[in-house]
Amino acid sequence: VPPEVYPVNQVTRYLRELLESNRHLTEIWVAGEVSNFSRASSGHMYFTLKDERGALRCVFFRNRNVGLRTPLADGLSVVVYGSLSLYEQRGDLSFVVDFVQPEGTGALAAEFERRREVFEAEGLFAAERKRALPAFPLRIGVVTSPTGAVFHDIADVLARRWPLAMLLLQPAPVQGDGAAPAVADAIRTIGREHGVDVLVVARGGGSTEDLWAFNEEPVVRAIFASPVPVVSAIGHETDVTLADLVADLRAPTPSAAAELIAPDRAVVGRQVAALASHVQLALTRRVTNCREDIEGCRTTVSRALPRIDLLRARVAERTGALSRTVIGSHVHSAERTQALAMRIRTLSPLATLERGYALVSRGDGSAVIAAAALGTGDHVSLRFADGAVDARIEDRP
Amino acid sequence: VNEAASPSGDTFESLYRRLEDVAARLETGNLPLEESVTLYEEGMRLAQQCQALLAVVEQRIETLRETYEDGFGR
Repeated sequence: VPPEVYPVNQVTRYLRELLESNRHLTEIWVAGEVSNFSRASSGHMYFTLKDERGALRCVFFRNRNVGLRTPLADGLSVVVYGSLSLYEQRGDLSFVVDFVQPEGTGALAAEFERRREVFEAEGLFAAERKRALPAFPLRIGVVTSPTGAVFHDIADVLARRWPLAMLLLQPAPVQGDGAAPAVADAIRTIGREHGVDVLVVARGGGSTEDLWAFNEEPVVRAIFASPVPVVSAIGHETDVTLADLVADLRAPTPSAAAELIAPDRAVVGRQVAALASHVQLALTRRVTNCREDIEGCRTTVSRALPRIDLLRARVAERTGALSRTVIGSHVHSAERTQALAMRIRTLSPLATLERGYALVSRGDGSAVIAAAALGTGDHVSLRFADGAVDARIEDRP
Repeated sequence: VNEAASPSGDTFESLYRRLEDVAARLETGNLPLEESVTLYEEGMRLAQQCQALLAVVEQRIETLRETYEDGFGR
């Protein structure tokens, strides 16, 4: 069997695929010294990374090297992040650089910087996507360890400032293997399923390694995707994690987070009282305005009064004329009344009595109009013009 | 039970915003007297409801199930 003959490009392609699929050669950090540095007109950078026993050709493409913080130069010791590949047309092995850090940077710090740049370029930390926190939260979610002081610190502050809100603790391990996916899952669950209107992701102080879960991509992405604003409180004030950078608001400590997410009810109570007094004052002012309006109307009426007086005088004048006519008729009437009174008086029994007659009546007041109606011993009353006397019938035949 | 909500089901925020609105309308608008009085009454009622909610003494805490345990077998 004759040996198989391969075309060159098949070999180089195979070799490239082999390199790019090897996890020991892809997305790795490599430390060394820069030599043969050159920058092509295309913007790509080429250099050799070497140490005392080895050398590696490196390419740093323009789209990756823009905004490079550390200017590269021969002799510089650096740590680079990237993957090994093969330039098939020339059969050259090259390390494709993604990120460069000056040597001496700790591995975690270098990795932190690399991720920070990646997420930043993606817009995850953009200021314009930071959301405002609710003014008066109703349901506050907290993702943190169920053990430890962090949750209690938050609950204590909220009990004092804003006990109106319900506090929901979504426990998650905040350190060690599996912490990052667990925290990410907790953020997703509480944000979507429990109707919270603000979320705190918190962890107490610790070393960079302890806090590392909060630099992991799942956590960063979960915070970014949260439907409600997220406040981060990871470690101490000096610790900054990627979770802090992607959060809507970063609090220096868990207690500070509680202060930031909820108003102080004493202050809010004073605001309510102030609004109530505004309402009262506004009504008082409105009523005063009304009074003034009425006063204004009265003045207008008063100003019109001289004319009214004139009219009144005119009315009086007319009335006078009328009165004179009426009084005239009254005088006439009075004379007639007097004449009638005279006539009535002549008909009255009193006038007759004045002429010397007397009126005879019984004790009960009934008039005696015939002698036959009286018997001996009867008591009668004789009424004269000037008064009455009692009498007894002495002799009655 | 509704958090930070009055017996009528209004949240603190909605009561507070309405109070602000009532105050603003009373202060700026030259409303008819009758309407002013109605707004005043509403404002006083809202302020009272707000203060009642702020007087809550007991904080409520709920601990949710740890989500990551099921399905991932940590």
